Amino acid sequence: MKLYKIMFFNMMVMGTIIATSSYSWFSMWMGLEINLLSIIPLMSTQKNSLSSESAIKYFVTQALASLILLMAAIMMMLINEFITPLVNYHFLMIMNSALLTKLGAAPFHFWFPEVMEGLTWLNCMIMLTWQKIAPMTLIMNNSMNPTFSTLIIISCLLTSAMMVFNQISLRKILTFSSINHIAWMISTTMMSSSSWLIYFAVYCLINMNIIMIFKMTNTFYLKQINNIINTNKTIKFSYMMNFLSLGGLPPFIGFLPKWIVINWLVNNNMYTIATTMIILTLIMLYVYMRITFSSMLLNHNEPKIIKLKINKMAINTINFMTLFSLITCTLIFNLL
Amino acid sequence: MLIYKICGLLMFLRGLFVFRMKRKHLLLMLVRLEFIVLSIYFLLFIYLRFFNNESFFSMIFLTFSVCEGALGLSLLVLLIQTHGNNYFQSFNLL
Repeated sequence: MKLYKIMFFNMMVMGTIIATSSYSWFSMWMGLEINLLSIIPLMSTQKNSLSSESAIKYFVTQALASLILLMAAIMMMLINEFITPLVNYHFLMIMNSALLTKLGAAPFHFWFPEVMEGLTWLNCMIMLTWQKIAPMTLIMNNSMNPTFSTLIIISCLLTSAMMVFNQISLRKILTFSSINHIAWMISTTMMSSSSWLIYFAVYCLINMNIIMIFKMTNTFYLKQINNIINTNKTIKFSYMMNFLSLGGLPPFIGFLPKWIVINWLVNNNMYTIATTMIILTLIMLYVYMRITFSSMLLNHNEPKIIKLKINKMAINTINFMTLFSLITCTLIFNLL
Repeated sequence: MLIYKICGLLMFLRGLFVFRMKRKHLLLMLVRLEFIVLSIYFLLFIYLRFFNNESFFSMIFLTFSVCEGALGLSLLVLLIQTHGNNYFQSFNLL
């Protein structure tokens, strides 16, 4: 592990913590900037042309979003001549749009698949999980207009469902599934922050499992999945179950956050949003099933002679701990 | 007072608009980003006047934006090292 990677990783974590624990919009902006500035060297250290392109696309979009955020934060106070608590709703929407750009939510998602395509699996994992924390907590803490929020949720679900159909690159499929889950997470920001925490934690876990398997076997495209399936029965099983869990099927852990979200939405009489979200997520589920068809339904030969160098212990334990822990979710009721 | 706000906002919006009209070179895009940073610096000065003229935060903002500009330039250098030019058209269709 190189020294500069440790340093930049720490700075990235510190940037997110500064952004989430800030009392004013300026320190929030500073935290986001520190996060951006320290993740760019982590992304662009490969010597191929794809990673430098990804790094520059990511940098330009995120820098622009930060500047728009700062402009909205300044203009919000300046327009009303500092008469608080009158917050100007137009600039609040601009600020939320900037934060949604940082997340990769539709209709600001166009940078996300292109950037993810050029990254290694470890950087993909950081991009999908850690980079979502700071903008999400900031969106949670400023009150988003419910109409705007609903518009964002539906456009996220629609774009992810439509655009994931023709993809063969695994990174892009995970990107669009991330956009889908962002829609669910934005709906939790309307309700309570502990349900967001549960959703995000479970989503991180499932993503970690999937990306761990892909990283160890070095698969980037759908055609290479045959390599994973032929190695070991438990890996085939856990790979398949992870995708089903990502789709939100019981009895896996991925069902829990969706259940909590639907429960809250129905309790607050938001029936339309709940129904729309469930129906539009089914399309995504079809795509997950399509990926796992070959492992679920077909007969595979497992060659005992040639084996891939994978850490079977890690995959088996972590997968089985997280996948079947819907029963242990009774332990988290103290958090709700 | 109003003229300052309008001037600042207009500067920002012009910067964004020209950002959208990207030509051939990536360097111009980075220059545009610096222009937007300048407009926000101006707005920040007006904003900080309301806090009894305490403009220390403008220095912090300037530090951050200079770091960002330096990072942008180093990314441009990386791009030229890998691609050979800084044209938009030579990006891969990812």
